[in-house]
Amino acid sequence: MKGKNENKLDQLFKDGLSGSEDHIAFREEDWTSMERLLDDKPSKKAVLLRRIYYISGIAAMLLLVIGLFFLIRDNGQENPTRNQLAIKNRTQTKGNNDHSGQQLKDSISKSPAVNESLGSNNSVQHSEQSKSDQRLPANRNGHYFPNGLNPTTVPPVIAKTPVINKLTKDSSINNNNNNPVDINKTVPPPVNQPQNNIATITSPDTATTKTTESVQQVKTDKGSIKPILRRGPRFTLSILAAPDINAVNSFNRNQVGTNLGFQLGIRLSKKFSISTGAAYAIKPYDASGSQYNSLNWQGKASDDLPTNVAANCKVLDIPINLNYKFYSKGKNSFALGTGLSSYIMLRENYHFDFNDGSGRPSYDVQIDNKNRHILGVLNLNATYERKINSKFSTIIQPYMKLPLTGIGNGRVDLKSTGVALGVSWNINSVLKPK
Amino acid sequence: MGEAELQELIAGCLQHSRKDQKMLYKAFYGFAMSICLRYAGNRYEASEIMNQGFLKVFTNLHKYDKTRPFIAWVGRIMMNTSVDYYRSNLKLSLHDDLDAAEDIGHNDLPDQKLNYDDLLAMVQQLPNAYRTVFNLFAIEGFSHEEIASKLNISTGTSKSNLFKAREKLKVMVINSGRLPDDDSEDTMHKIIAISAISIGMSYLIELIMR
Repeated sequence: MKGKNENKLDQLFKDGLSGSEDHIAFREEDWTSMERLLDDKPSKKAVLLRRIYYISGIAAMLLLVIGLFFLIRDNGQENPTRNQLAIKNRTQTKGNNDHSGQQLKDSISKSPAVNESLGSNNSVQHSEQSKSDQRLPANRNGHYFPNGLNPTTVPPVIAKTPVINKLTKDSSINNNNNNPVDINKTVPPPVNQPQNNIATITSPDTATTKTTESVQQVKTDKGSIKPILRRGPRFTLSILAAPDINAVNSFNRNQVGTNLGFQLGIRLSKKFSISTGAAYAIKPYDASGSQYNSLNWQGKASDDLPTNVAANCKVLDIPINLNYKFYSKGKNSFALGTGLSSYIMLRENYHFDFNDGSGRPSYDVQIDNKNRHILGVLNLNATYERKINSKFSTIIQPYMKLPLTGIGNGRVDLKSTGVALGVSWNINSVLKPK
Repeated sequence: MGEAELQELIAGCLQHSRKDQKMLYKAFYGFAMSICLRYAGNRYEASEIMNQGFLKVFTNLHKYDKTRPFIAWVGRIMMNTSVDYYRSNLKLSLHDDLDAAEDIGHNDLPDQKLNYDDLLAMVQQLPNAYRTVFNLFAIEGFSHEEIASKLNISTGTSKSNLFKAREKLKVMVINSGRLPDDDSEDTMHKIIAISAISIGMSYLIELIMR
């Protein structure tokens, strides 16, 4: 009975389903996707793979070159003349801190004398310190302020210490809450001062600042390509998470943080899209005392600076990026993006360690919601997107964040890089089912 | 299509002529699709499988033995592609309750004639593992041993999957006679599901807002 029933059932389906070719109408879209398969697969597969390698290679090179550009800008100052200039610049900046031109003159005129009184025994130690010392102020200011000091008569390496000592006494650190940017503004541009090779060195640096400016200009220009709206805006929502490698100045001393956020993408045309969003990032990093540019320390000797600053910042990162999709075929697409990020520092924790010999205890500082860097960070990223289905796709996004201003309370040159992984959701698939 | 015409098309396809490829594709579209549709869960998956099958046809065309019927070769490729497509979840043995099936199991099948679309919809509703075995056994006519080696499963799994597939299909065939009842029940279920989801969502939103 049962077996008979089963045979009957099998027969019912066999008869009903076979010989059904006529029921099925040809659909052109199936052939379209078939053509896509044919285009992709046979001989072109190798070519496609090679192209992907090239493209990812180019993207990696681009990131590398831009990273190197920033690195070289720092390292370039390690040559002797720049060293002197940078330190002179520093003394000048510090002299201006107490808003007294007279004070500055005093300190500078005094410095050579004190130099002589100082033995050469501590010069080596200082030179080591100053090597890293000079980096940040130069980087921050973007260019150097030449002053009247003759680099040949004043060994700046030694000169620095006495001046700073002097200033510590006089200025009694009344500028705790000053913004370094303001200080730069208050520095009078020295014009009629004797110089040797200062001019030649100043000009390339201003040139570099100009190029960064022009880069930004280009970016805003790109933004004006908005009118190429073809099919109206399309929205995507992505959730991204990334291990975030943070480092100050160069990536020699880096620490890994996390970055978690969402991004809203608006497609302007087939190739261009804008993305914005918010990401919560935990950025731990290590810096030397001189890289950490607290105003409290403006007048202090490098001996009195902490040997190490361990920082942990919780940052709300709000990026605005413009992306250019240069390759898209089938399920895969590649894009390059650039833009600016605003960092809102939610909480900054700093731990300062001092030299054992200095006898100063290490201490902690916590700062909440104080510093904001609106559009102060340059974003560079490359995105690989692979569609899972019509609604979702996965994203792999290597990125780099390069600060244009000093970040955090210490105005450090905090660079971040990492690879974000995430899922992107095509909102239009819900808004418009077709 | 005449034999000569077919050979001409095949020769064209071997030269990678896109026009001939399309003509061959069009000529065997219905046949290939009819196979893929009953192995696939839906039309979308079916066309994906079919295109992958056709890709194999085009790329392996030089291996085709001209002494054998072309349509059988295409059919075999489509079947194998379909089986491959669902291979990953073939071993899955589902334990859904068959109580309902057993109740009705003793009833005779209605003698009514069901049309192609109804039957196809029923087959497509089966879980992948059941559907594949049912297709291979009931429609292609393979033995359990052949199926087991084809799918890399045990003959026991093959038999049990066939049994479960038949039970499910039987329920569907019998129930097809009393659709209105089912429909109202279905809408009830839908309403309950939607309201449950919306309550859940609002609770979640409230949680997040807090």
